[in-house]
Amino acid sequence: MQQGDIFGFLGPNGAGKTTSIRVLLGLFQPDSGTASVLGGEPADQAVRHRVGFVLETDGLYDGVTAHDNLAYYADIYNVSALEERIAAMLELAGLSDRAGDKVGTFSKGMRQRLALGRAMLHDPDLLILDEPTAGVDPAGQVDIREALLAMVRESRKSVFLSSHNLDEVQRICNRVALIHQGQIRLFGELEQLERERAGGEARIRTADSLDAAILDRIRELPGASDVGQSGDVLTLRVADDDVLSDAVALMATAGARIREVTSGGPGLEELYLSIVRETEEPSDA
Amino acid sequence: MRRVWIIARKDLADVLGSRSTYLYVFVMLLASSSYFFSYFSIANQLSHQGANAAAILATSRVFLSSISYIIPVLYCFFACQTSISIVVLEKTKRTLESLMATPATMQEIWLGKSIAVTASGTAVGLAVSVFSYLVISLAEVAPRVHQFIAPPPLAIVSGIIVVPLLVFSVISLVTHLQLVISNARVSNFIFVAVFLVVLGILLVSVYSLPGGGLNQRYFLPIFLLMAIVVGLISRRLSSRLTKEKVVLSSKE
Repeated sequence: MQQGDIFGFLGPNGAGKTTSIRVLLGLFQPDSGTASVLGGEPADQAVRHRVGFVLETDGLYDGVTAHDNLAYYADIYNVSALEERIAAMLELAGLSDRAGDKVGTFSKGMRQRLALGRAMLHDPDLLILDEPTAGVDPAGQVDIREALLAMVRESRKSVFLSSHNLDEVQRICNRVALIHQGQIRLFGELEQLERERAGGEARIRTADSLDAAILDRIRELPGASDVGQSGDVLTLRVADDDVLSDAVALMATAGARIREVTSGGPGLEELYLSIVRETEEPSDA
Repeated sequence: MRRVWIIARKDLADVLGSRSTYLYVFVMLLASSSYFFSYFSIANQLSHQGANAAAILATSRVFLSSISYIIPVLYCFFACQTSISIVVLEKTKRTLESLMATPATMQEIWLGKSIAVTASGTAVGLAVSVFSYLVISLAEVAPRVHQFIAPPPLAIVSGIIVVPLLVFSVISLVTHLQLVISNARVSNFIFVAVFLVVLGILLVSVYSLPGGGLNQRYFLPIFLLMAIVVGLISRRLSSRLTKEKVVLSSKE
């Protein structure tokens, strides 16, 4: 991960996401290999001071007010200007008017926003979040996402986000890793990964089917391959975007009425499913 | 140490804000009536046997002196029962895992929670002990012997210093076990088991020595010895306490 990244950590149930997070938070020692957080040992006190977190369960005290939940952690982290900081975090979480209410009366979404505020209390350099929107209704998810993005934008924090919610990851993460069966199967920038996975596949939808002559001319284009037509959709594989432009230009010149051009690969969901299935196939066989 | 006090302060506030703490105070006050009636029965028996005032005074002294050693131990442990559940509760609600992910070390958390349970238990236990002693002395004993019998100085030292030490050593051991044992029900029973074992050893030791319960000079060294032994066991165990063990034992 690099500074300022919002890093999506994906994987099916039982893949090892929560265990990995516990290693990163210094709760577990790795059985083998090493873990490094912000250049140091995860369990190191100095590192712990620079990391904020929200675990699978929010860890808030039900019988204590929102303010006092934050005050407890602020004390633990030895936060200076404590009251100002707590007020700022309650504001960021949209809970200023509920500061004196016991957390046990809060909705799941409110609790998660408060937990995010607690994670940011001590102004950490890295936020580690384990399923922060799990069990939250769609409106609550949007609130949490916006609160998270606001927090990150405001202070350019790095975020390590473990999630099952692929749509959420696709919306906010710039870099992802996919863990499956205890191994990292995919790692890199999301856009780059999607492009690579697509292998240059493109689709051009036209108003009518194309003549065979036009298809032959497209097949002759350098860098174009696997040209085929199904109804009004032409599919082909292109070496780069210039080849696709050439194909579109050729079709337009030949009088084809082009309705839509799409290139690039599958979304994150397809990418995720294809990798999970690929890695499961050998053991299923 | 700063974080130890922060953790202890928060848990202490939770215990003192809990209704069950005050229910235990009520139960302890009810239990005190048994001492009241015991003395009533002993004094009446002596009167019927024609004992003189000096004999009644001497018996009263022994009686009050004995309970001034025993009541604080019983009540302090009993009062801890209400607060010891905070460790198990934190595990089941998974608030402990979040606390462990902060810069607080496992030893700080363990110590903070042990101090909170001991402080609340001994504060409540000693307050009820003093109250019960005063009620028995002033309402029942003083009218019979025409004077207030103060507890012996060693009993006061025992109540203020040695009993809290003994309670702390036992509580820190129980807290440790509760942190690493996964079955919440088992961990809840541990306190009762350890309490009964410690109390059993104390009573057997005191009463098996020459003079038995009447010879109160044995109470203080035996309390102190028990505190040191249990404290050493607890200290040794704490060096093996890791966050990983606690997280793994918190799994449902």
